[in-house]
Amino acid sequence: MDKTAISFDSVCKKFNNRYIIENLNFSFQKGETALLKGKNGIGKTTFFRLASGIIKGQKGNIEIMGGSPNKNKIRSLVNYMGPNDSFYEHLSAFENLVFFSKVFEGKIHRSIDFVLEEVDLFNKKDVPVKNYSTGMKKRLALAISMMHDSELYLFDEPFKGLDDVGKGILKKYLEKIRNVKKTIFLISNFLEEVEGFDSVYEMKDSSSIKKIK
Amino acid sequence: MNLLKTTKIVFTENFFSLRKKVGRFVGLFLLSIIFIVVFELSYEPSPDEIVNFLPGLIWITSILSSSIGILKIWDDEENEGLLDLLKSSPLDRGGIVLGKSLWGSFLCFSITILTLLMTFFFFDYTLDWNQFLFLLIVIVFSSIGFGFLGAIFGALSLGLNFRNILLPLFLYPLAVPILMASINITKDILDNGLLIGTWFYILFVYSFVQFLLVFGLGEQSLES
Repeated sequence: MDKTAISFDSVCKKFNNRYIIENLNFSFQKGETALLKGKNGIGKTTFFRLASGIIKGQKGNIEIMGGSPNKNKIRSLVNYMGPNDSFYEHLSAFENLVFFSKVFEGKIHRSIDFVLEEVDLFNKKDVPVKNYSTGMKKRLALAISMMHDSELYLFDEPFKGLDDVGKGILKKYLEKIRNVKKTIFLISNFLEEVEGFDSVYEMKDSSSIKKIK
Repeated sequence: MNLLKTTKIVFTENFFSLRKKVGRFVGLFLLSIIFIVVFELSYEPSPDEIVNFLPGLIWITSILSSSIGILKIWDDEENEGLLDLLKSSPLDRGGIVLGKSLWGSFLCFSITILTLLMTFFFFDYTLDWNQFLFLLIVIVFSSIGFGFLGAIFGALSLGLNFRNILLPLFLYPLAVPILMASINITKDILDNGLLIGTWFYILFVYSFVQFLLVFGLGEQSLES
Protein backbone atom coordinates (compact mmCIF):
# COMPACT_ATOMS: atom_id res chain seq x y z
CA MET A 1 0.00 0.00 0.00
CA ASP A 2 1.23 3.48 -0.90
CA LYS A 3 2.40 5.32 2.19
CA THR A 4 2.69 8.72 0.53
CA ALA A 5 0.09 11.31 1.43
CA ILE A 6 1.38 14.14 -0.78
CA SER A 7 3.62 13.69 -3.78
CA PHE A 8 4.79 16.51 -6.06
CA ASP A 9 6.84 15.50 -9.07
CA SER A 10 8.44 18.41 -10.98
CA VAL A 11 5.36 20.57 -10.50
CA CYS A 12 5.25 24.07 -11.98
CA LYS A 13 2.65 26.75 -11.47
CA LYS A 14 2.89 30.27 -12.74
CA PHE A 15 0.67 33.31 -12.43
CA ASN A 16 1.10 36.33 -14.72
CA ASN A 17 4.16 34.76 -16.35
CA ARG A 18 5.92 34.40 -12.99
CA TYR A 19 6.67 30.99 -11.53
CA ILE A 20 5.26 30.67 -8.02
CA ILE A 21 6.08 26.96 -7.94
CA GLU A 22 8.91 25.82 -10.21
CA ASN A 23 9.93 22.19 -10.65
CA LEU A 24 8.94 21.33 -7.12
CA ASN A 25 9.62 17.77 -5.96
CA PHE A 26 8.24 16.90 -2.58
CA SER A 27 6.75 14.00 -0.70
CA PHE A 28 4.98 13.73 2.62
CA GLN A 29 4.14 10.49 4.40
CA LYS A 30 0.76 9.31 5.64
CA GLY A 31 0.35 9.72 9.39
CA GLU A 32 2.98 12.48 9.52
CA THR A 33 2.15 15.75 11.23
CA ALA A 34 4.16 18.77 10.18
CA LEU A 35 4.34 22.51 9.97
CA LEU A 36 5.29 24.47 6.89
CA LYS A 37 6.98 27.82 7.31
CA GLY A 38 8.44 30.27 4.85
CA LYS A 39 8.60 33.91 3.91
CA ASN A 40 5.42 35.73 2.93
CA GLY A 41 4.66 35.39 -0.78
CA ILE A 42 7.05 32.46 -1.26
CA GLY A 43 4.25 30.15 -2.48
CA LYS A 44 3.04 28.21 0.58
CA THR A 45 -0.64 28.92 -0.09
CA THR A 46 -0.24 28.07 -3.80
CA PHE A 47 1.40 24.79 -2.75
CA PHE A 48 -1.60 23.97 -0.53
CA ARG A 49 -4.08 25.00 -3.24
CA LEU A 50 -2.34 22.68 -5.68
CA ALA A 51 -2.33 19.86 -3.13
CA SER A 52 -6.04 20.21 -2.41
CA GLY A 53 -6.97 20.29 -6.10
CA ILE A 54 -8.24 23.88 -6.09
CA ILE A 55 -5.85 24.82 -8.89
CA LYS A 56 -3.92 22.74 -11.40
CA GLY A 57 -0.21 22.92 -12.13
CA GLN A 58 0.98 23.72 -15.65
CA LYS A 59 3.57 20.94 -15.55
CA GLY A 60 4.40 17.91 -13.44
CA ASN A 61 2.34 15.43 -11.51
CA ILE A 62 0.57 15.71 -8.15
CA GLU A 63 -0.72 12.73 -6.19
CA ILE A 64 -2.70 13.01 -2.98
CA MET A 65 -3.49 9.89 -0.94
CA GLY A 66 -2.60 7.80 -3.96
CA GLY A 67 -4.63 9.62 -6.61
CA SER A 68 -5.08 12.84 -8.51
CA PRO A 69 -6.63 15.71 -6.50
CA ASN A 70 -8.78 16.42 -9.56
CA LYS A 71 -10.89 13.38 -8.72
CA ASN A 72 -13.92 14.02 -6.49
CA LYS A 73 -13.21 10.82 -4.54
CA ILE A 74 -9.66 11.89 -3.67
CA ARG A 75 -10.80 15.36 -2.66
CA SER A 76 -13.27 13.77 -0.24
CA LEU A 77 -10.22 12.53 1.71
CA VAL A 78 -8.83 16.04 2.10
CA ASN A 79 -9.88 18.55 4.73
CA TYR A 80 -8.75 21.97 3.54
CA MET A 81 -9.03 25.14 5.60
CA GLY A 82 -7.90 28.21 3.67
CA PRO A 83 -6.67 31.55 4.95
CA ASN A 84 -9.80 33.46 3.80
CA ASP A 85 -13.48 33.42 4.85
CA SER A 86 -15.18 30.45 3.29
CA PHE A 87 -18.92 30.58 3.85
CA TYR A 88 -22.11 32.21 2.65
CA GLU A 89 -22.23 35.57 4.42
CA HIS A 90 -26.02 35.98 4.17
CA LEU A 91 -26.66 32.64 5.91
CA SER A 92 -26.37 31.94 9.62
CA ALA A 93 -23.70 29.65 11.08
CA PHE A 94 -26.29 26.88 11.43
CA GLU A 95 -27.46 27.25 7.81
CA ASN A 96 -23.87 27.25 6.58
CA LEU A 97 -23.19 24.04 8.47
CA VAL A 98 -26.37 22.46 7.09
CA PHE A 99 -25.14 23.32 3.58
CA PHE A 100 -21.65 21.95 4.19
CA SER A 101 -23.06 18.82 5.81
CA LYS A 102 -24.66 18.10 2.41
CA VAL A 103 -21.42 18.94 0.60
CA PHE A 104 -19.41 16.50 2.73
CA GLU A 105 -22.21 13.94 2.86
CA GLY A 106 -21.03 10.51 4.00
CA LYS A 107 -18.06 11.99 5.84
CA ILE A 108 -20.00 13.79 8.54
CA HIS A 109 -19.22 12.47 11.99
CA ARG A 110 -20.44 15.18 14.31
CA SER A 111 -23.81 16.85 14.72
CA ILE A 112 -24.14 20.53 13.85
CA ASP A 113 -25.18 21.58 17.36
CA PHE A 114 -22.32 19.64 18.91
CA VAL A 115 -19.77 21.33 16.65
CA LEU A 116 -21.28 24.76 17.30
CA GLU A 117 -21.01 24.14 21.06
CA GLU A 118 -17.42 23.08 20.63
CA VAL A 119 -16.41 26.30 18.83
CA ASP A 120 -18.53 28.37 21.22
CA LEU A 121 -20.91 29.70 18.56
CA PHE A 122 -24.06 27.91 19.67
CA ASN A 123 -25.64 31.06 21.13
CA LYS A 124 -25.05 32.94 17.86
CA LYS A 125 -25.97 30.13 15.54
CA ASP A 126 -28.94 31.95 13.97
CA VAL A 127 -27.15 35.25 13.40
CA PRO A 128 -26.15 35.91 9.76
CA VAL A 129 -22.41 35.38 9.32
CA LYS A 130 -21.99 38.88 7.84
CA ASN A 131 -22.54 40.20 11.38
CA TYR A 132 -19.76 38.04 12.86
CA SER A 133 -16.39 39.36 14.01
CA THR A 134 -13.18 38.10 12.37
CA GLY A 135 -12.53 35.68 15.23
CA MET A 136 -16.07 34.27 15.08
CA LYS A 137 -15.74 33.73 11.31
CA LYS A 138 -12.50 31.88 11.91
CA ARG A 139 -14.26 29.68 14.47
CA LEU A 140 -17.00 28.94 11.95
CA ALA A 141 -14.34 27.89 9.42
CA LEU A 142 -13.00 25.61 12.14
CA ALA A 143 -16.50 24.21 12.73
CA ILE A 144 -16.86 23.38 9.02
CA SER A 145 -13.56 21.53 9.17
CA MET A 146 -14.52 19.75 12.41
CA MET A 147 -17.76 18.43 10.93
CA HIS A 148 -16.27 16.05 8.45
CA ASP A 149 -13.85 13.24 8.91
CA SER A 150 -10.84 13.11 6.54
CA GLU A 151 -7.50 11.44 6.03
CA LEU A 152 -5.41 14.49 5.18
CA TYR A 153 -5.75 17.86 6.89
CA LEU A 154 -4.32 20.91 5.11
CA PHE A 155 -4.66 24.03 7.23
CA ASP A 156 -3.40 27.37 5.94
CA GLU A 157 -2.64 29.80 8.78
CA PRO A 158 -5.42 28.45 11.03
CA PHE A 159 -4.33 30.51 14.04
CA LYS A 160 -4.63 33.83 12.20
CA GLY A 161 -7.46 35.96 13.62
CA LEU A 162 -8.23 33.72 16.59
CA ASP A 163 -8.23 34.96 20.17
CA ASP A 164 -6.76 32.89 23.04
CA VAL A 165 -10.00 30.92 23.53
CA GLY A 166 -10.20 30.20 19.79
CA LYS A 167 -6.56 29.15 19.74
CA GLY A 168 -7.27 26.80 22.63
CA ILE A 169 -10.17 25.22 20.70
CA LEU A 170 -7.99 24.79 17.62
CA LYS A 171 -5.11 23.25 19.62
CA LYS A 172 -7.52 20.78 21.21
CA TYR A 173 -8.90 19.87 17.78
CA LEU A 174 -5.39 19.40 16.35
CA GLU A 175 -4.47 17.19 19.28
CA LYS A 176 -7.60 15.10 18.74
CA ILE A 177 -6.87 14.43 15.06
CA ARG A 178 -3.17 13.84 15.81
CA ASN A 179 -4.13 11.19 18.36
CA VAL A 180 -6.08 9.22 15.77
CA LYS A 181 -3.00 9.17 13.50
CA LYS A 182 -4.35 11.38 10.74
CA THR A 183 -2.01 13.24 8.41
CA ILE A 184 -1.73 16.95 9.18
CA PHE A 185 0.16 19.62 7.27
CA LEU A 186 -0.21 23.12 8.59
CA ILE A 187 1.13 26.47 7.43
CA SER A 188 2.23 28.67 10.29
CA ASN A 189 5.15 30.94 10.96
CA PHE A 190 4.47 30.88 14.69
CA LEU A 191 6.06 27.62 15.77
CA GLU A 192 5.44 28.33 19.43
CA GLU A 193 1.67 28.10 18.83
CA VAL A 194 1.80 24.50 17.71
CA GLU A 195 3.11 21.71 19.87
CA GLY A 196 3.64 18.02 19.41
CA PHE A 197 4.10 17.98 15.62
CA ASP A 198 6.57 15.47 14.14
CA SER A 199 8.47 17.82 11.90
CA VAL A 200 8.93 21.31 10.51
CA TYR A 201 9.44 22.07 6.82
CA GLU A 202 10.58 25.30 5.30
CA MET A 203 9.80 26.60 1.85
CA LYS A 204 13.00 28.40 0.87
CA ASP A 205 12.05 29.31 -2.69
CA SER A 206 9.63 28.32 -5.43
CA SER A 207 11.38 25.00 -6.07
CA SER A 208 12.27 23.56 -2.69
CA ILE A 209 10.62 22.53 0.54
CA LYS A 210 13.19 21.20 3.01
CA LYS A 211 12.76 19.45 6.32
CA ILE A 212 14.49 21.55 8.97
CA LYS A 213 13.44 19.70 12.12
CA MET B 1 -20.08 13.21 -5.45
CA ASN B 2 -21.87 12.82 -8.75
CA LEU B 3 -23.08 15.54 -11.08
CA LEU B 4 -26.79 15.32 -10.32
CA LYS B 5 -26.37 15.32 -6.53
CA THR B 6 -24.08 18.37 -6.73
CA THR B 7 -26.51 20.12 -9.06
CA LYS B 8 -29.33 19.51 -6.57
CA ILE B 9 -27.27 20.80 -3.60
CA VAL B 10 -26.21 23.98 -5.42
CA PHE B 11 -29.69 24.69 -6.82
CA THR B 12 -31.47 24.16 -3.47
CA GLU B 13 -28.92 26.33 -1.65
CA ASN B 14 -29.63 29.17 -4.09
CA PHE B 15 -33.37 28.56 -3.91
CA PHE B 16 -33.52 28.67 -0.11
CA SER B 17 -31.16 31.65 -0.02
CA LEU B 18 -33.78 33.56 -1.99
CA ARG B 19 -35.76 34.24 1.19
CA LYS B 20 -32.67 36.07 2.50
CA LYS B 21 -32.26 37.97 -0.75
CA VAL B 22 -35.94 38.56 -1.45
CA GLY B 23 -35.33 42.31 -1.75
CA ARG B 24 -33.14 41.71 -4.77
CA PHE B 25 -35.81 39.64 -6.51
CA VAL B 26 -38.54 42.16 -5.72
CA GLY B 27 -36.22 44.90 -7.03
CA LEU B 28 -35.87 43.12 -10.38
CA PHE B 29 -39.62 42.65 -10.62
CA LEU B 30 -40.22 46.32 -9.78
CA LEU B 31 -37.77 47.32 -12.48
CA SER B 32 -39.85 45.35 -14.98
CA ILE B 33 -43.03 47.05 -13.82
CA ILE B 34 -41.42 50.50 -14.10
CA PHE B 35 -40.45 49.76 -17.73
CA ILE B 36 -43.97 48.60 -18.56
CA VAL B 37 -45.66 51.54 -16.81
CA VAL B 38 -43.36 54.06 -18.53
CA PHE B 39 -44.22 52.58 -21.94
CA GLU B 40 -47.89 52.36 -21.08
CA LEU B 41 -48.01 56.05 -20.11
CA SER B 42 -45.87 57.38 -22.93
CA TYR B 43 -47.19 55.32 -25.80
CA GLU B 44 -50.70 54.09 -26.33
CA PRO B 45 -50.67 51.64 -29.23
CA SER B 46 -53.83 51.00 -31.23
CA PRO B 47 -55.24 47.43 -31.15
CA ASP B 48 -53.58 46.81 -34.57
CA GLU B 49 -50.19 48.02 -33.41
CA ILE B 50 -50.20 46.15 -30.13
CA VAL B 51 -49.18 42.81 -31.69
CA ASN B 52 -46.05 44.45 -33.11
CA PHE B 53 -45.36 46.41 -29.97
CA LEU B 54 -45.90 44.02 -27.03
CA PRO B 55 -43.38 41.24 -27.91
CA GLY B 56 -40.48 43.71 -28.02
CA LEU B 57 -41.54 45.34 -24.76
CA ILE B 58 -41.99 42.00 -22.96
CA TRP B 59 -38.65 40.53 -24.00
CA ILE B 60 -36.46 43.61 -23.73
CA THR B 61 -37.91 44.29 -20.28
CA SER B 62 -37.51 40.74 -19.02
CA ILE B 63 -34.04 40.19 -20.52
CA LEU B 64 -32.81 43.45 -18.98
CA SER B 65 -34.32 42.70 -15.57
CA SER B 66 -33.28 39.07 -15.43
CA SER B 67 -29.78 39.86 -16.70
CA ILE B 68 -29.22 41.91 -13.53
CA GLY B 69 -30.15 38.81 -11.51
CA ILE B 70 -28.07 36.49 -13.68
CA LEU B 71 -25.01 38.74 -13.42
CA LYS B 72 -25.26 38.30 -9.64
CA ILE B 73 -25.59 34.52 -9.40
CA TRP B 74 -21.87 34.00 -8.74
CA ASP B 75 -21.65 36.89 -6.26
CA ASP B 76 -21.16 34.68 -3.18
CA GLU B 77 -18.48 32.66 -4.93
CA GLU B 78 -16.59 35.83 -5.84
CA ASN B 79 -15.31 35.46 -2.30
CA GLU B 80 -12.15 33.50 -3.08
CA GLY B 81 -12.20 31.57 0.20
CA LEU B 82 -15.67 30.13 -0.44
CA LEU B 83 -14.84 29.19 -4.03
CA ASP B 84 -11.65 27.50 -2.82
CA LEU B 85 -13.56 25.48 -0.24
CA LEU B 86 -16.16 24.40 -2.81
CA LYS B 87 -13.41 23.44 -5.26
CA SER B 88 -11.50 21.49 -2.60
CA SER B 89 -14.69 19.66 -1.57
CA PRO B 90 -15.93 16.41 -3.17
CA LEU B 91 -18.56 18.38 -5.13
CA ASP B 92 -18.53 17.76 -8.87
CA ARG B 93 -17.36 21.02 -10.50
CA GLY B 94 -19.52 20.49 -13.56
CA GLY B 95 -22.45 20.05 -11.16
CA ILE B 96 -21.69 23.38 -9.45
CA VAL B 97 -21.95 25.19 -12.81
CA LEU B 98 -25.03 23.17 -13.82
CA GLY B 99 -26.74 24.00 -10.50
CA LYS B 100 -25.99 27.70 -11.00
CA SER B 101 -27.21 27.50 -14.62
CA LEU B 102 -30.51 25.98 -13.53
CA TRP B 103 -30.83 28.63 -10.87
CA GLY B 104 -30.16 31.37 -13.46
CA SER B 105 -32.79 29.82 -15.74
CA PHE B 106 -35.31 29.64 -12.90
CA LEU B 107 -34.68 33.31 -12.08
CA CYS B 108 -35.09 34.27 -15.73
CA PHE B 109 -38.26 32.17 -16.05
CA SER B 110 -39.89 33.70 -12.95
CA ILE B 111 -39.12 37.29 -13.95
CA THR B 112 -40.29 36.72 -17.54
CA ILE B 113 -43.57 35.15 -16.43
CA LEU B 114 -44.26 38.04 -14.06
CA THR B 115 -43.30 40.59 -16.74
CA LEU B 116 -45.55 38.86 -19.27
CA LEU B 117 -48.54 38.84 -16.95
CA MET B 118 -48.00 42.46 -15.92
CA THR B 119 -47.65 43.58 -19.54
CA PHE B 120 -50.93 41.94 -20.58
CA PHE B 121 -52.59 43.38 -17.50
CA PHE B 122 -51.42 46.96 -18.11
CA PHE B 123 -52.17 46.87 -21.85
CA ASP B 124 -55.45 45.05 -21.28
CA TYR B 125 -54.63 42.24 -23.70
CA THR B 126 -56.36 38.87 -23.36
CA LEU B 127 -54.66 35.60 -24.28
CA ASP B 128 -56.38 32.30 -25.01
CA TRP B 129 -55.08 29.13 -23.37
CA ASN B 130 -53.26 27.97 -26.50
CA GLN B 131 -51.38 31.22 -26.82
CA PHE B 132 -50.49 31.12 -23.13
CA LEU B 133 -49.21 27.54 -23.40
CA PHE B 134 -47.11 28.40 -26.47
CA LEU B 135 -45.67 31.46 -24.72
CA LEU B 136 -44.80 29.26 -21.75
CA ILE B 137 -42.79 26.97 -24.04
CA VAL B 138 -40.92 29.96 -25.51
CA ILE B 139 -40.17 31.28 -22.01
CA VAL B 140 -38.80 27.88 -20.94
CA PHE B 141 -36.39 27.69 -23.89
CA SER B 142 -35.28 31.31 -23.71
CA SER B 143 -34.76 31.01 -19.94
CA ILE B 144 -32.58 27.93 -20.43
CA GLY B 145 -30.59 29.68 -23.14
CA PHE B 146 -30.09 32.90 -21.21
CA GLY B 147 -29.64 31.31 -17.77
CA PHE B 148 -27.05 28.82 -18.98
CA LEU B 149 -25.24 31.47 -21.02
CA GLY B 150 -25.06 33.79 -18.00
CA ALA B 151 -23.89 31.03 -15.65
CA ILE B 152 -21.07 29.78 -17.87
CA PHE B 153 -19.77 33.28 -18.58
CA GLY B 154 -20.16 34.16 -14.90
CA ALA B 155 -18.01 31.17 -13.98
CA LEU B 156 -15.43 31.99 -16.66
CA SER B 157 -15.11 35.56 -15.46
CA LEU B 158 -14.71 34.73 -11.73
CA GLY B 159 -11.60 36.39 -10.37
CA LEU B 160 -11.14 38.67 -13.39
CA ASN B 161 -10.43 42.35 -12.94
CA PHE B 162 -13.32 44.54 -14.11
CA ARG B 163 -15.61 41.49 -14.04
CA ASN B 164 -18.71 43.62 -13.52
CA ILE B 165 -17.99 45.53 -16.72
CA LEU B 166 -16.67 42.66 -18.84
CA LEU B 167 -19.48 40.23 -18.06
CA PRO B 168 -22.37 42.31 -19.54
CA LEU B 169 -20.13 43.18 -22.52
CA PHE B 170 -19.87 39.48 -23.35
CA LEU B 171 -23.34 38.48 -22.24
CA TYR B 172 -25.55 40.99 -24.08
CA PRO B 173 -24.22 40.44 -27.63
CA LEU B 174 -24.49 36.67 -27.15
CA ALA B 175 -28.06 37.04 -25.90
CA VAL B 176 -29.13 38.80 -29.13
CA PRO B 177 -30.19 35.56 -30.93
CA ILE B 178 -32.36 34.60 -27.92
CA LEU B 179 -33.89 38.05 -27.82
CA MET B 180 -34.60 38.21 -31.58
CA ALA B 181 -36.02 34.69 -31.70
CA SER B 182 -38.22 35.21 -28.63
CA ILE B 183 -39.62 38.51 -29.94
CA ASN B 184 -40.44 37.03 -33.34
CA ILE B 185 -42.00 33.85 -31.94
CA THR B 186 -44.10 35.87 -29.48
CA LYS B 187 -45.27 38.05 -32.38
CA ASP B 188 -46.26 34.90 -34.34
CA ILE B 189 -48.13 33.54 -31.33
CA LEU B 190 -50.04 36.77 -30.72
CA ASP B 191 -50.67 37.32 -34.42
CA ASN B 192 -51.50 33.86 -35.75
CA GLY B 193 -51.45 31.55 -32.72
CA LEU B 194 -48.43 29.74 -34.28
CA LEU B 195 -45.43 28.41 -32.39
CA ILE B 196 -43.38 26.37 -34.85
CA GLY B 197 -41.32 28.26 -37.41
CA THR B 198 -37.72 29.20 -38.27
CA TRP B 199 -37.35 31.42 -35.22
CA PHE B 200 -38.48 28.61 -32.93
CA TYR B 201 -35.82 26.29 -34.39
CA ILE B 202 -33.20 29.00 -33.88
CA LEU B 203 -34.25 29.43 -30.24
CA PHE B 204 -34.33 25.66 -29.66
CA VAL B 205 -30.89 25.06 -31.22
CA TYR B 206 -29.31 28.05 -29.48
CA SER B 207 -30.65 27.00 -26.06
CA PHE B 208 -29.54 23.43 -26.70
CA VAL B 209 -26.04 24.67 -27.58
CA GLN B 210 -25.86 26.61 -24.28
CA PHE B 211 -27.00 23.48 -22.48
CA LEU B 212 -24.23 21.43 -24.14
CA LEU B 213 -21.72 24.19 -23.43
CA VAL B 214 -22.42 23.94 -19.69
CA PHE B 215 -22.04 20.15 -19.80
CA GLY B 216 -18.87 20.33 -21.86
CA LEU B 217 -17.17 23.36 -20.35
CA GLY B 218 -18.71 23.58 -16.88
CA GLU B 219 -15.82 21.93 -15.08
CA GLN B 220 -13.14 23.72 -17.09
CA SER B 221 -14.80 27.09 -16.59
CA LEU B 222 -14.41 26.81 -12.81
CA GLU B 223 -10.86 25.54 -13.09
CA SER B 224 -9.84 28.44 -15.28
